[in-house]
Amino acid sequence: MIGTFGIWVICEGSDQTHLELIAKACELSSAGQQVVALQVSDLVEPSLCIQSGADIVLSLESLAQDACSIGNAIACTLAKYEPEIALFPATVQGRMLSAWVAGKLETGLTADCTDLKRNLDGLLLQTRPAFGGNLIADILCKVHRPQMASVRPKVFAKPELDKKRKGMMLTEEYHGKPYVMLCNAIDITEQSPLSEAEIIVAGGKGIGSKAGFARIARLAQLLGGAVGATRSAVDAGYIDYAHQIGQTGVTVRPKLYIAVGISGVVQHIVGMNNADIVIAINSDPRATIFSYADYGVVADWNVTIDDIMTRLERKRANELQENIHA
Amino acid sequence: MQRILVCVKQVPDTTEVKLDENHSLVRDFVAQVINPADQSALECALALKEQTGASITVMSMGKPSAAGMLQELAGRGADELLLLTDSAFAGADTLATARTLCAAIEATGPYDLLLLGRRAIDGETGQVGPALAALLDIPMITNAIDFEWDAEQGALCTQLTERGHRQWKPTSMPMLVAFCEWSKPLRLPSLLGIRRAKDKTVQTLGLVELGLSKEECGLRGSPTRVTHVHKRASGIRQCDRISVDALFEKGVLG
Repeated sequence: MIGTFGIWVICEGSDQTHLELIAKACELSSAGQQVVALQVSDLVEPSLCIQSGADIVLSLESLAQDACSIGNAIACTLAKYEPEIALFPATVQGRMLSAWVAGKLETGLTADCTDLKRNLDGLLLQTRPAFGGNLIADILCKVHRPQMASVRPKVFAKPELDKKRKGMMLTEEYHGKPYVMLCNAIDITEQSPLSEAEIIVAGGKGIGSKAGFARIARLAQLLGGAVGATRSAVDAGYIDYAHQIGQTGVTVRPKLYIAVGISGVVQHIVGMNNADIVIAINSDPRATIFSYADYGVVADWNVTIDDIMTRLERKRANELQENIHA
Repeated sequence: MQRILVCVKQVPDTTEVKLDENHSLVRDFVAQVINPADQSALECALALKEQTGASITVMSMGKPSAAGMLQELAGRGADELLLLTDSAFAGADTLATARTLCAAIEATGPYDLLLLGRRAIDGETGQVGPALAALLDIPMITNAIDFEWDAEQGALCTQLTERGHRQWKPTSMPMLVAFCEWSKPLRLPSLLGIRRAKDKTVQTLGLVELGLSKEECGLRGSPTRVTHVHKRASGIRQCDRISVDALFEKGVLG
């Protein structure tokens, strides 16, 4: 059954980050240490948790909807099974849950870890950016248990699913009073969230206007990608907060990231530096962004994306013609 | 709605931080500001005060120099100013900070609403709000962009999530609401406010006044410890400066 001193991953259902954390937990686990996926939402698929490496999936049932009561259920369960480590996705819900639970259990929590390792003493070494991302801090929770950490989506790689892997699926009931009731939900974006996009075209303050961002959006559309923005572009009112990439926005991990008119302050870089390929377009040859790009086009962004869009449209038109005559 | 508590933090203005050609931190003299997200919380409190006549108590855990920041907030409409300061509070992680704030809140008497920013621009953990709510055992909503109050309908809090907006009603009060930065720009002080503020003094509370032990707060009360800090080295890429022609030739843009 469920033993003590395991590594637990809290699966809260906002996205698939818990699978990334389960895979990481397997890497961190010592011989014989259980990896337990704690399911607190119907949106989580237990079989995927097993296939990602969990030994056990424990589903908590009869939970209320709000983070406080779900947090109480998690805290109770962690207190009961005394894991060594508890990992949470650093989604909006995950951040609320982890901090509430750490408060209830009066233990240490490190938010937004960019790396998790074992140190020489076997403690969980938690690494996270500090001072706006300019510095990296290593943090330990030496005495209190569980050692808790939250990790942003896409910081760790998606696991390869082992469809043949077997594991145990258990359920427990937890009844608690709700602290808040959901009375309205308005979904803003119809497309999948920015954090999942494989191609992103992002604009900075240099775009200069909402109309400028409409052109960025057009380029994104031609490439089949999503639109991102820096904080200064959002603050200037050119585009809304849902598109913000960086320290106080979304962390992305696309195959292709095109940074248009972006200077490259570190608070933005930390949000996109895991991209496979980065192309930067900026008229300033000394812009910091070029140090974080694989390809750099030093030119006026308007002219450049005009050029790119014309070529893409021509290519599309040619492909269409070929299909018609095939 | 009679009494609103607002927790604020004084932080270095890290948006001014820049890197030089060697990607090293340029450490000019950095100004101290009221944490932007806390400004939104205070603005919400001020609007509610206009609506309901509630009094506002602003509290901050910080160095003695933070008294100046609190004094300035009196000019914007804060009625009571509490500075939690003691050498024993230094080096606190988020749990120790939450414990200290919790002690002050429990000592300060009844309140109807607790507001603060969702995270500070220096630590950026976003943990103090929820940990504080957990210690006080009150409902909480983080990532808030709006909070409305009606004497009959009660409270309604709008939260920003990855998928969109969610609106929540607490099942009991007081509740804690943690605001997004930029959600509510803080109003400027009025002349009348500045004049009235001259009568306000900052009340200082330390370890003894809050009934805390040294093991509960500061570095000693922190379960987490920073063991090492180093500069960001990784992330630099080898940049190929090319033309749009070359981008297409290489097939990077498909």
